[in-house]
Amino acid sequence: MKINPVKNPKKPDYPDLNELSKKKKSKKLVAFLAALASFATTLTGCQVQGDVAYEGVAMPPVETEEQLAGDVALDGAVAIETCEVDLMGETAVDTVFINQYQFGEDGKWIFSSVITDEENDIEYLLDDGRRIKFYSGDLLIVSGATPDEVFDSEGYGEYIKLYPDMVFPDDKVFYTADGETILIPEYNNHYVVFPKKEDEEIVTLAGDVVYEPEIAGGMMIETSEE
Amino acid sequence: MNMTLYLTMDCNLACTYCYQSNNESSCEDAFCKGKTITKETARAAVDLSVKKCDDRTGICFFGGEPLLCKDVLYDLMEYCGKIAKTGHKFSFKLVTNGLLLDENFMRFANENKIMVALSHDGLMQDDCRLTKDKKGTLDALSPKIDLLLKYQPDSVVLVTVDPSCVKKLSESVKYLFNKGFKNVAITPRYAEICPWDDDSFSVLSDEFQKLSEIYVEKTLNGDDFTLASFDVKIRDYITGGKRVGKGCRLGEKQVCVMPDGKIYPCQQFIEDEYFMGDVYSGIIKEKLDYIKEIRKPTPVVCDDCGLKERCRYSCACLNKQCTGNIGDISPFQCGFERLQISCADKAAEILYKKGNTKFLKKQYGEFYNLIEI
Repeated sequence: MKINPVKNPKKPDYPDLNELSKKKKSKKLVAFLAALASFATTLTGCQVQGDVAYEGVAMPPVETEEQLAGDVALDGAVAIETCEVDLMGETAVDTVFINQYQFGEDGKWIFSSVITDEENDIEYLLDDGRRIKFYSGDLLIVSGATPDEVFDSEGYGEYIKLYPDMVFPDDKVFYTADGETILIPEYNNHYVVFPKKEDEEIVTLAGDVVYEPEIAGGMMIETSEE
Repeated sequence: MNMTLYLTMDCNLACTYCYQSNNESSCEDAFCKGKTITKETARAAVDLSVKKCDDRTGICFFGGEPLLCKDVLYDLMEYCGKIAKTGHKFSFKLVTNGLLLDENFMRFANENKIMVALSHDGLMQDDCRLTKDKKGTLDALSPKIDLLLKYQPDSVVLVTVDPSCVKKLSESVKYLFNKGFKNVAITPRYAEICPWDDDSFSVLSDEFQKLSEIYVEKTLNGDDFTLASFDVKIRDYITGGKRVGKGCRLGEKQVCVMPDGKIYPCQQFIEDEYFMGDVYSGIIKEKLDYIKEIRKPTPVVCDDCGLKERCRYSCACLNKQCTGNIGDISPFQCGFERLQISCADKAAEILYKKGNTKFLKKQYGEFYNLIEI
């Protein structure tokens, strides 16, 4: 036995996340649009535009309104699509993977995320100086915005609003600023909720988000309305 | 704050590879001073953590055999329960050899959310994990495993493999999976005087090839399981070494509290040089700074290695255990890391090529759909 540094190891024949992320934008876009179109059809019966363009894309598990109600992960919500976001704010230090997008019964947008990082030390510093800790397996909920406000004009699901008045409830039952009650399935005992301020005007997030692709493909995420 | 809390240094087993019982100098010093923790010292450890950290305390009950101190454990859990009402969060783990597990304790563990991990070597159990009168414990532990898994089906089993019985490794892992464990972690026996030679390492390599086949087979069967040597290495590759990249956080991520209340950075560092304080007067800042300073050196020889993002070369504990120096990796450790990576990749490549859904979902998680599209 001897120490044997491997200068040029054989690259494994399965992809890492960097390789996947190169493909993700185009695929994610069509997947999301397909999901959104399907959802719109489900709720309103409206014509799905560009069906053909989405051919072959995995569709969300939503077929009927009954199923929408029955498939709930959150109360009155259904998982739509998976996606990924880099939290690259001023002191954000790690990557958060969004596990699923969800729509509330009232058409409001709910966003949830499960952090998959294995180290329990992700921190995010808000503009007001508060430091938020995320732990492995945390479930993050952003609620109170509509899909248009969460997604930019291209339909990417990467622009996330972090509201400064986030609360850290101990219970599984959360109340959003809209008065909506959300029942969260227990996940690793930790929850963080991002409710919208009651008197806060919804703004288009595309205008708030600073996209800095050179920072590891990440996003600068605004954390206040200023 | 996360702490490994040594409830006692006493044990009801006399495992042949136990680094505690074999470490005479340590035993004279910290290991055996105050062999069993008092309720007051245990509470003081919790108090220190609550005072020191913002909102969370993680406690791993360790020993010796921690279940020899159930009275202290029950008392401390009650104490933590009271503190938890103030909003402080706790998480609990316990590592046991299993002999003292019973229905009452398992009910208590579940009620108090104590994750119980079992140290068990599978079919190698009777080679190394012996009673003090040198009797095997495999048969005695069989019903204990059933009991543990009845209450905690996701419990982790920690396997230590000794060169003397390494040829039984793959069959041992099979045995443990067949007993119902879903999560198996394997650690070779480490020691400063390396117990592994070329012959035993060759057998270890053969056994890991077999484990690679077991990993593939179980995944294809659709089983929910983790085999840490494989899953960690695959995950490290897929995520670009994010976990490893953070390096060793000796003394920072967690501390080790001995029965006498003294604090050290890790159980491999129970020496005066690494003493960090005690549960009554707290962690001494200068000592912590010293620990942070000395943990920095990583093996120079690894600088150019293309596998370092998947390797534990920077683990101060492992290096100290194997070489006596934090900054030196041992030849065995280097070989073992390469072996795990090679076998993990072999299994992953087979499963990826097959487009196995179980594998893709397990390893790529939320990115699974991107592969599917």
